[in-house]
Amino acid sequence: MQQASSMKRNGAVAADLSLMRRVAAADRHAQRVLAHRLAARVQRISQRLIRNRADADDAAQLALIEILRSAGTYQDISSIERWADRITVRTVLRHARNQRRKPWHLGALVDVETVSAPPPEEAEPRAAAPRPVDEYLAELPAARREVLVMKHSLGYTTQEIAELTNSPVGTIKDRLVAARKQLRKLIGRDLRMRSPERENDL
Amino acid sequence: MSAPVNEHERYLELADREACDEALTADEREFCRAFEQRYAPRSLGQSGEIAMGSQGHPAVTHELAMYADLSRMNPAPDASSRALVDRALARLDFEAAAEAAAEAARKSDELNEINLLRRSRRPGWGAWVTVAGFALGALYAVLDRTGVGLPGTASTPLARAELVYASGTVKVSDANGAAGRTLLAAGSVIETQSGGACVLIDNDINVCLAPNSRMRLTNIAGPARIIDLESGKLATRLSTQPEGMSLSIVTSGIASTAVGTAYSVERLDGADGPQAITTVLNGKVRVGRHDAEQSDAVIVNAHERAVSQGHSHGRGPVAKPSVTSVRRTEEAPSWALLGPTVLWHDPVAATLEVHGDPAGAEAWLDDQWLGATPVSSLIPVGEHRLTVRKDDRDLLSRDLHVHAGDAHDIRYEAGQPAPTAQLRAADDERPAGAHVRRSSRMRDYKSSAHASRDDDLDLGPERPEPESGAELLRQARQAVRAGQFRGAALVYEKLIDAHAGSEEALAALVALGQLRLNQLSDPRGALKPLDTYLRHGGALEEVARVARIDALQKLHRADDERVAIEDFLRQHSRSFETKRLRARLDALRQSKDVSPNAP
Repeated sequence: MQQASSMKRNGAVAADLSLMRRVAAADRHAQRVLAHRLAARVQRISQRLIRNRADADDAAQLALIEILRSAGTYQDISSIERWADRITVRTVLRHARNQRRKPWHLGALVDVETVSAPPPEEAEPRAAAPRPVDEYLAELPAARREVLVMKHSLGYTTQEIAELTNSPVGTIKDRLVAARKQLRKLIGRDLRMRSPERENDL
Repeated sequence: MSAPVNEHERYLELADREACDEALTADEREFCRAFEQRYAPRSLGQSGEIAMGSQGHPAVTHELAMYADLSRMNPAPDASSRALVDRALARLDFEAAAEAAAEAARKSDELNEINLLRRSRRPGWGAWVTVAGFALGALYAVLDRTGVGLPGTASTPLARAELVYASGTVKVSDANGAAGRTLLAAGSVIETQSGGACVLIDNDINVCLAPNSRMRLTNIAGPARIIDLESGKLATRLSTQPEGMSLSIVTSGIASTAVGTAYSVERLDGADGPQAITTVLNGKVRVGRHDAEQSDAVIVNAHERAVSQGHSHGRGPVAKPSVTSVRRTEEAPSWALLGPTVLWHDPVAATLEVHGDPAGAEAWLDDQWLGATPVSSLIPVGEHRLTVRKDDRDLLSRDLHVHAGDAHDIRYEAGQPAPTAQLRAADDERPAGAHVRRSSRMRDYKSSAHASRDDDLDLGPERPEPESGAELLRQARQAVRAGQFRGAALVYEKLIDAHAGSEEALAALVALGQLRLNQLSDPRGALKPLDTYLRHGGALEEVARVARIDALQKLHRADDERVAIEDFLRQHSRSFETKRLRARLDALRQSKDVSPNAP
């Protein structure tokens, strides 16, 4: 049984490696397959790291292009998704920093209208948080939001986050604790605003 | 019952430490596990709600639920992720082509340099070339006079232009056109209705026509190829042309000329005459008056847009185009027009035609959007899966084995009638969520310019459950990205009507104003939502004021515009727009040109 699952895993790894080699060789079909496999995930990471939806879409596009270009660097020490996550995070953070440096950009016009937009899919069962997670993320400052997403969405260690953001580990820990505390406060506020009957239900 | 305060605080402290990758002792880990088991059970009920016992601690439970939500990172692909893939691949293709062209140009430059060096070392070489040139010229002249042709030396270069994509009804010089069957001669007129059409010229110039547009292939054989855009919008993408060759898109007397780039040109007919809007996606485009010295022409770079005031017959003075930068998201509709070109990126081999009843179904080849049926297109060889869908129901799903030279003619039929009533007109402009409920309040926001047309539409049945404001905003935003501006305006109107006073509705007022002003060329219609927003006030006041000033300028209401600018400068003295508006105010004061339309 264990041998069968190991063989299956090895087969999947070989298939991934073959796919990435074909992408690196600019195989059109392979590029499309890889892009479809990763697009929704790249989009979600980008939307969680950047509050402005238009900027997040731009960043997701840049990240997907970067992933397709970098296929030659893939090694089978991690899954394709894990490898692509790092490229996505780096690209999205770079894009976000560039946008923040601009004193004014037209994207700000659509920011307000898209802040409260829900994530594109509704198929997954959502845990019963008082509000959708994206709404809470939108209320956090960018630096805290980034750390929180990298920790709890992508599962990076504080050391890895520090490397990705070029920040000291201590700073990352401070931001993470601050983000969690702020999140706690927001949840507490929402729960207090609920009617007493509802709270009793809880 | 909730957890004792000291236990709760200890748990939070330990949880934060664990999140920071600090190692907990065995006792501390055991404490956390026990706390979570007692106060924050994570099991989900059938409805997705947290099943919580009487001892549950809401704050901790919801915090854990939040982290569980955050960790879900594999959403199912949807239309927006598929669109992302198309955009990314199209951009990758284009950049690869641009890099190849740049490399070729670099090699060509190197060769030229080498030749120059050789010439400098051998002074006699140039003289030999000149003599040979004269001799060849004399020989050609003699042969030409005697009527003897030389192979490959026709006086006019040959060109091959072909209709390679057609969605919906596409007329080619008033006859029905289909991809792969219609070769185009100079002077051909291509006209689209609800769908789009693409023409491929000499395998390296793609010209894609938007719905409800019309173009004439005035000169396709070069060296100066000319396409007249008679109405609507087109986008073109061409590889670097040989020296001396160029492509010009001419509309209302304005020519947008490039030797290798991607750009779109749109003709808008307004009260002040037609406007040509050139949006450059890549490379550089020269925009200026056609048939003129080009002294007033401007060079428009990538991610810039030139707006030129033209003339109905292409004659008369033409003002210098104004150039502004555009966001990448604003370029998306133009890239989308070029979307089908990825189908014949590889060496072209086969033709696919999809038609049947009902028409207007969505046809997909693999994950590539083909178009609304009937549709015909060139497609690459290989294994493909064709899917035809209407109203979320698959009408056809079939594997295709495509070989070189194949001509696939696929017909589908609906087994059952469509489950929901559909819009009768302007389907292609109306996104899925645009079933508009009529009310007197909504008509207040409706633009007078579009009201009469909308009143003719069968807007479909009312939806029993209203969509949320956020959902409507998302739909409107998607429609804008897809270039469906009229549809987006309808969704904004619906949002304003259904969720009056909400934050989303307030944001929609400003977005609607900007949409009418910039995309729908309806400054009068833009004023109403902007004024409504400004009466209420909010974080977008500055933006709304700027849009209102631009609308007043377009309406030539100089007095109102002056007052609005003065008001803006008082309220937002440190705005990014201050410099531009101060200059405009000075100009207004100097001209003292008060419009008779001013109240």
